[in-house]
Amino acid sequence: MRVTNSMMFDMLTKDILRANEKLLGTYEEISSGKKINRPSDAPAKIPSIMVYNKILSGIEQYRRNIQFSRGELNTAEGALNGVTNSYSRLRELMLSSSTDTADDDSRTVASYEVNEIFNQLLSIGNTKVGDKYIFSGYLTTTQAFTSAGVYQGDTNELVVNIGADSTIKANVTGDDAFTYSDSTQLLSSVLSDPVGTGTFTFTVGSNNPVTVDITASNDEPKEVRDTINAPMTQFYASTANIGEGTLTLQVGNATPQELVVTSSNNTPTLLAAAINALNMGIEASLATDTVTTQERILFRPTITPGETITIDVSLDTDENDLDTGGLSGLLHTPQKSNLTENAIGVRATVINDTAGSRLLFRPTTEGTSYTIATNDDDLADTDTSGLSQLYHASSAATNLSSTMNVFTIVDHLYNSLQTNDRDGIDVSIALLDGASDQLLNIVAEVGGRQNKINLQEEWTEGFSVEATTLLSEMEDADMIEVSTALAKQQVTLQALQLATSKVFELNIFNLI
Amino acid sequence: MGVGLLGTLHVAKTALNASQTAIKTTAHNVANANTPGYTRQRMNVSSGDPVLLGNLVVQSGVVVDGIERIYDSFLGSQIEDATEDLGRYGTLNTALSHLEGIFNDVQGMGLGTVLDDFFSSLQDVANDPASVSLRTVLLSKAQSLEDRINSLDSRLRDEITNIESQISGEVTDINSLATRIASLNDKVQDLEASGQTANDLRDQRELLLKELAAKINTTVLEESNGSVTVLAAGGSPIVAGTSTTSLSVSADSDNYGYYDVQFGSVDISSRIASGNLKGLIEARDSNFQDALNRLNTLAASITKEFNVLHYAGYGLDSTTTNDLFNVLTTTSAAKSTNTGTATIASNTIPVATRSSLTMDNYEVQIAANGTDYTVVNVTEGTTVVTTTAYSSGTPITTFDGISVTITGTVAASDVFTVNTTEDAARDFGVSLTDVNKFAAATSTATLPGSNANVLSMINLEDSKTLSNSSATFSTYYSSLVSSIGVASSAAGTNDTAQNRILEELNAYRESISGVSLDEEAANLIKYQHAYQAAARILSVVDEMLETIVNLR
Repeated sequence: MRVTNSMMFDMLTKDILRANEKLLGTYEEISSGKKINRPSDAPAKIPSIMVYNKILSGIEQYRRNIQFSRGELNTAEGALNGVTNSYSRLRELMLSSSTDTADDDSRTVASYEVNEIFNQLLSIGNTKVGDKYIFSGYLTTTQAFTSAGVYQGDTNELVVNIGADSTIKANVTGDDAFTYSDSTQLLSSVLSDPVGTGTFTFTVGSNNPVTVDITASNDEPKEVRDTINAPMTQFYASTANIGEGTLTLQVGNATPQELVVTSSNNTPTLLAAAINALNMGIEASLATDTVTTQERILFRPTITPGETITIDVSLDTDENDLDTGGLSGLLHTPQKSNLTENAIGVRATVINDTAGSRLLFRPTTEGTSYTIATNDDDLADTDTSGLSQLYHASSAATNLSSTMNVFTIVDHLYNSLQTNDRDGIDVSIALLDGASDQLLNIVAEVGGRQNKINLQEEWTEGFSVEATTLLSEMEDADMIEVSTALAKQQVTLQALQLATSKVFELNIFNLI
Repeated sequence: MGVGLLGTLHVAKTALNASQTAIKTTAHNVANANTPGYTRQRMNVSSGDPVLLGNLVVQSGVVVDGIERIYDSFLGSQIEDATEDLGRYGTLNTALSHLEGIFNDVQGMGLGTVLDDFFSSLQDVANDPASVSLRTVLLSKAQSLEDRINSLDSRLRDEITNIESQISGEVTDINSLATRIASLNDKVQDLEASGQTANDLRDQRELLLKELAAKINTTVLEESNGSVTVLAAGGSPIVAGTSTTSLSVSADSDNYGYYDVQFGSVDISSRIASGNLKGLIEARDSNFQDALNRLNTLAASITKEFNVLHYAGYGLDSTTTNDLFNVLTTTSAAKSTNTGTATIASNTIPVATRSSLTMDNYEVQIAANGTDYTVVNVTEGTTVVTTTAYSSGTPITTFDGISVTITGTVAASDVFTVNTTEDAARDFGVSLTDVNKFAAATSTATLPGSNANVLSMINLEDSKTLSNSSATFSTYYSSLVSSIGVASSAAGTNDTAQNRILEELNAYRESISGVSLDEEAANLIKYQHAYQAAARILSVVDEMLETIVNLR
C-alpha cells in the first residue's frame, strides 16, 4: 500500500485524539466516582438506577416517618403509663374503702384522693404536644376531654407510612384509651328524678321476658334500681292457689310481722296486695312473665333501701315444708332458699357523676346477653322523658350505651365515697377492672405498634444498605480498575506522542 | 524536421520540456500536499511519433500527453455516501447529547429527584397536617416541581428552536454550495471544451460535493461535457449544469409549526434520508418532540391526578374545591389539509369529568358523507364517539371528559385534532397560594388533624396512572430518560462507526490520490537528472555544431 504523509499525519492525529477521549472518559469516571455519567452510558440500567434512587429517597422519608411515629407513640405510651398508675392507686383506694373496716370518715378521706386522681387523669387525657392534643384523633386543636370528662375528639387514627406497603397508626384516641365498651353493660344517659312510670321488660338469655312495673311509688332512680334488683319468688300462674299458712316477714332487724294466707288471699295478686297492706317497709309487686303470663312476686324494702328482707313460712297448711306445694312453693322454712336475689338476671346500679344519676345495667352472670324494653306511661315513646330516657319503645332507638367513660367511673366512685355508698364502691371496682383491661389492651397494642416500627426500621436499614450496594454496583466506578486504566491510557498516549514526533522528524528533504 | 544534429537538438528540447513539466507537476503536488481534496497529478509522456524520411525512421523525442489525476471514481462515490451517513449520525449524536444533558437524572439532579422530594414533603404533611410550616415546605416543593418541569419544557423548546435555525442554516448552505457547484460546472465545461483536463477545478468541485453530501443525501451524475447534475433527497435536481434550484423551509402547521424542507413547493422532508438535515429532522421529530410530548403527558397527568383529589378535599380553613395545580386546558386545531372552512374551539374541562381525562390524542373526523362525525382516540386506536350528525356550533358529544365545539362548514374527511396535554409542561404551575388551603383532610369535621386526603395523594406515587395504567409517574419518567439514553447511545455508536468507515475510506483514497513527499522527492531527483542529461545532450550537440561551423 502507498502511504502518504498526510495519511500518516491523519492517522496519528486521530489516534492521539482518541487516546485523549478515552483519557477524558476515565478522568470523568474518577472525578464523579461513577461509571455511568449520562443515560447513554448504559441506557438499560437507567430505569433500575432511577428506581433505586427513588427507593433510597423513599427510605430517607420512611426513616423520618418512623422517627415521627415512634415519637408520637412514645408520648402516648408515657401518658398511658400514667393512667395505669392512676388505676392501680384507685384500685387500692377502692379495695380499702369497700371493706367493713372502712367507715364514713375514711371513705371521705379517700374521696379527696380520688378527686385528685380524677384531675390527674383529665390532665393526662388532655396531654398537649406542641399545638396538638394527642388524644383528640383528627381534632388536634380541640381539648380531648371537658372538665366533666366528656370526650370531644373523634375516633380517627393518624395513619403514617413507614414503608412501601406498611402503615402504622401513630396516635391513640381518647375514645380508645379512656372509655371501654362491654356489650352486656348498658348505661343510661343522665336521668330525671323521678324517672317516670311504666313497665320494664327484661329478656335475659333464653329466659322468658319478665315485666316489672314502675309506679309513682318507686320511680326515683334508686327505687327503680331496687325494684329491678329486688329478691323474687318462683313463678306462679296468675290464677294459681299459692297454698295456705302463715308468712313471717322481716326487714333488716325491724320487728317481724306475720301474715295469714288463706284461700281469700292466696293468688299472687291478692298476696302482694295483702303484703303491701301491712305497710311494714316491704313492698311486694308483680313481675309478669310475658310469655307464660305467670307472675312472680318481687319484694322490695321501701323504708331503708337495700335492707335485707327475711320471709319465713311459719305454718304451711299442707304441713310439709320440704315440698314445693302450698306456701312452700313460696318458701321452704328450713332452706329459705326460694327467694332469689336479682332473679331477673340483670342487676341495676345507680351511677352518680357530676352530671347526675344514671342507671347502669349489668347481667348477674357475666357475659349473658339481654334486652331491655320499656313501655312508658306517658305514651309518647318518641320523646326522651319518662322511661323513654332509657328506651323508646316505638322508635326502637335505645338510649342505653354500652360504652363506659373512665371519668364517669371515677366520678361515680368519688360520689359513692362521699355518700358512703358501699354498693356504689363495689360497682366501681368492677367497672374500673373493665377499663383497666381495656387500657392494658391499648398499651399492649401500642407496644405492638412500636415493635412493628422497630422491625420496619431494621428492615428499612437493611434494605437501604442493600439498595445502596446494588446502586453502587450499577453506577459506581471501580476505582482500582479505573486508576489502572488511567495509568495504561497515559502510557499509551505518551508512547503515541513520542512515536508521532519521531515519525514527523522523518523527512526525505532533509536528506537530499 | 531535419535529420542529424538539428534533429537531435529537437529531441533534447522535447526532453527538457518534458522534464520541466514533470518538475512543475512534482512542485504542484508538493505544494498541494496538504490541500484538502487535492488529487495528486501525474504527467503522462510517450515517445514522439517517429518520422519517416524516405526509408529512414527518425525519432522525434518525447511527447507530454497530458497531466492526469490519480483518482478512483468508485471510491469517490463511496466516500460521498459515507459522508452523508456521517452527517446524519454526527448531527443526531450532537443533538441527542444535548437532549441527554437536559434529562441527566444519573447525577441526581433531574425531575425524578424533585418529584421524590415533593412526595416526601407530602409525607411530612401527612404526619402533621396541622403544621403550617410543613405545609409551607410542601408548597415550596411543589414550586420546585413547577420550576423543574417548566425549565425542562423551555430547554426542550429552546433546543428545538436551535435545531430549527440549524435546519434553515443548512438549507441556506446547501443553496450556496449548489450555486458554487454550478459555477464550477461552468468553468470545467469551458476548460474541457478546449480539450484540456480541468484537474484542479474538478478537485474543488469534488470537495464541494462532499461538503454537500454531509448536509443532504445526493446523487451526482456526470454529464459528457464534464458538468455534474446533483439530485438531492432522492431526485430533486438542485444543480443541473450551470443552473440551480433552491431549497427552502416552510412552517408546517400540522407538525407543531416546524419547518418542512421544500423543493419548489414540494415538501421533500420525508425523502431526506441522510446528511445533517436528516439528523436534525430526526432529532427534532423523533427525539425532542417525543420527549416534549412525554413530558407534557407526565405534567398533565400529575396535574389531573392531584387536582381531582385536592379539589374534593378540605383545607385547614375549611375551604374546599380548590385546585393545587393550574387546571388543564384542551388544545384543538383544524388540520391544514381540511377542505372545509369550519373552525374548532375548546371548551373548559368540566370539573365533574376531570377524572375521565386520558392524556391521549383524539381526532374529530368528518365522515365521507360530510354530515356526520366520529371521534377517535388516535393513541389507542379506538372510537370514542360513534357516528353522530354534525351541527355547526353545537358542542361535540363530550368524550373522555373533553368538550369542543366546531363551528362552520365542514367537508368530507376533514380532521380536527384534540388533546389536553399539548402545552401541559409549559403551563404546569402551582395555583394554590395559601398554605392553609392545602386540602389534607377529606371532611371539615376531621380538621385539623385529618391526613386522609394527603395519604390518597401519597398513594399516587405508586399508582399506575399512566400509559394505560402500566406506569407510575416515576417509571414513566425513567422510561423517558432511558429511551433518550438508548437513542443517544445508538447515535453515538453509529457516529463512531461512520467516522471509522469514513476514515478508512479517506485513508484508502489518500493512498491512491494523496501526495507522498518521499515519492515526489524521488521523482524530483529523477526528473532533475533527466533534465541534466537533456541539457548535457544540448551542450554536446552545441559543441558538435560549433565544430562543424568552424570547419575550414
